[in-house]
Amino acid sequence: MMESIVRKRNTIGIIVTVLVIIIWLIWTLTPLLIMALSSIKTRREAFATPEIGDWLGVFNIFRFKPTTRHYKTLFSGAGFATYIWHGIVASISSAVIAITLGTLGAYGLSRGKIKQEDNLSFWIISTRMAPIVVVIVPLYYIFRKLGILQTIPGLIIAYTTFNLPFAMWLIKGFFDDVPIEIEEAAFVDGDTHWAVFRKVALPLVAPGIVASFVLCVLLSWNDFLFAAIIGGGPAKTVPVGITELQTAVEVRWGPINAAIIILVIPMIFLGVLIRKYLVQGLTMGAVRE
Amino acid sequence: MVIPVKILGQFRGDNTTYYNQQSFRKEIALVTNNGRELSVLHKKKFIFSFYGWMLIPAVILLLVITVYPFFWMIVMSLFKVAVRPGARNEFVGFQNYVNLVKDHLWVKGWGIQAKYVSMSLTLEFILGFAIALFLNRLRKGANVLTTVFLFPMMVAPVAVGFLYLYLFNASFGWYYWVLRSLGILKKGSILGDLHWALAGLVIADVWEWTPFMALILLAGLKKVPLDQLEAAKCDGAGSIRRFIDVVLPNMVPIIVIGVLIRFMDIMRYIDKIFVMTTGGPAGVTKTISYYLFDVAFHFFELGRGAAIGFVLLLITLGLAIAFVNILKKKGVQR
Repeated sequence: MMESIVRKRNTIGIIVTVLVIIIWLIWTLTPLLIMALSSIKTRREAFATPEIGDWLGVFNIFRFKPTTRHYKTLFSGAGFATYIWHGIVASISSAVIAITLGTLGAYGLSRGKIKQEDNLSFWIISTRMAPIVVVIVPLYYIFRKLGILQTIPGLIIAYTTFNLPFAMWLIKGFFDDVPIEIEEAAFVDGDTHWAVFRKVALPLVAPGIVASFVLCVLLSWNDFLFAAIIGGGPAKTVPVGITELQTAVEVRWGPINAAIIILVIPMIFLGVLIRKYLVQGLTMGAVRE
Repeated sequence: MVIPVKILGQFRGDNTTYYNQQSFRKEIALVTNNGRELSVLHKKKFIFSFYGWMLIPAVILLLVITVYPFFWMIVMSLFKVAVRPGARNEFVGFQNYVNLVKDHLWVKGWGIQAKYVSMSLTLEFILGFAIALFLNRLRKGANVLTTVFLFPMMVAPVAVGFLYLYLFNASFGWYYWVLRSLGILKKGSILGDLHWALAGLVIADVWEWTPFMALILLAGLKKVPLDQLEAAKCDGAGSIRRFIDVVLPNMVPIIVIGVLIRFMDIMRYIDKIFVMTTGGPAGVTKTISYYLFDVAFHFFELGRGAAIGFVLLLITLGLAIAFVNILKKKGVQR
């Protein structure tokens, strides 16, 4: 008797769970799906929403002949391939700088004993908290004086302002997880500091470092504000290029949808790749799965 | 103790049987180490130690690219910064700050920001928690599902803006069509409507970041001690009782982190507003962050922008610290 009630409740529970998750899946994937489909539709097909209240008209979404014309327009016009190139160069260069200096700094921070550690930590974390517009105002002024506005090096430095503290803090967390005994053993064997770092500590945190690198690339590739204000002009990246397809006269939805697919797909791929470290990365190491 | 070291030192090189002098000294230091630090490393002043050298390049670069701009921001906020590069800046003292109080757009911006932040946060937290609870009940497939759920987080904020600009479009947007068909929306547009525009932004933000909430809350749920749950069950506590008395208290640190990070990020990004409404219609989506962008990079009043930015920075960081401290006082620590 008791058992049957419990089991019955479980069945209902399972149905509700599955239902909620399916609804959530639809809600999550629909915008991406509509965007992807629209990018291979003609203008007329993409804009074919049915009459208000005509629910069967939902199937209009799937009524079309695939075309690659928007992708062709995107790459035939001036610039879009260059924007992609700028994005790749700027985000990877900045990630390399941030990861190299960040790994060294993180190791020093994790192993060393610093009196000012609390202040240093607060400083690093606060760079993650500061609103981007706030950071950009003085940066814009300084870069204008230095004459590196609208250049790729300027953009790389701008990205490093958020990538370096981010990478350093995250990698420090990975180093903190390495049991100190392993390094002690190496010291006892007579290795130098550098050898212990390179041969013992570094290989152990290598997966974490790769994940941090990917996250740095992701943050910079997706960035819009720095790219628009510090970059722009001859140093445009993809997000800036997309906003320029929206003019006061018209919004060119076909190319926009295509460009968004190009912008988004590699990042989703990277995100899935570092899935294991994602929660840790996005919470600055505060939450682990 | 000293003598054996001297003797052993003569066998230097054969460190499988004997310690050489140097590493022997290291070992003595290691024995006295407490906790994580290797005390052998701290004989010298930190800054000249190996770890100091490791840290210095990063700290110097950080000083140049974060602290230096920060001081410039404070300096700029005291000037009327010339629009043209090279022209002289005019010192105005605290005039930029005094003017803020009289600036009704600035005051209004804070109100809009508060509405935007609180609406997004509440929705993301409630929905995220619900999803996490449901995902936690799954035995199989949770891994695949969480991977799919994280897609929106990877989408650039600009792209999210365009996604929803498209879906909300009054002549061909599918979400607009759904809302109209359900009779929720009577007429007009979503992002062009005084009452709906902010809600539109909130929906886009909820789509993008609820999975984040769900994922970290799920990580927290997995760490709720099973023995406590069992004990509560044995005492006859129902599932709601167990949730309130066992699950929630264990989750507090994670909830704090999640809410804090979302709060920071909603303050941080204006990409969606830039794409979807540019602060309109009639300024109802002009949050303080967006207002700052307007002042600094549409009107190029960099001095005034710096003043707004400095106040915004202080308040953002202040709120974050206050939030953490309040919770610490209640005995919650990470």
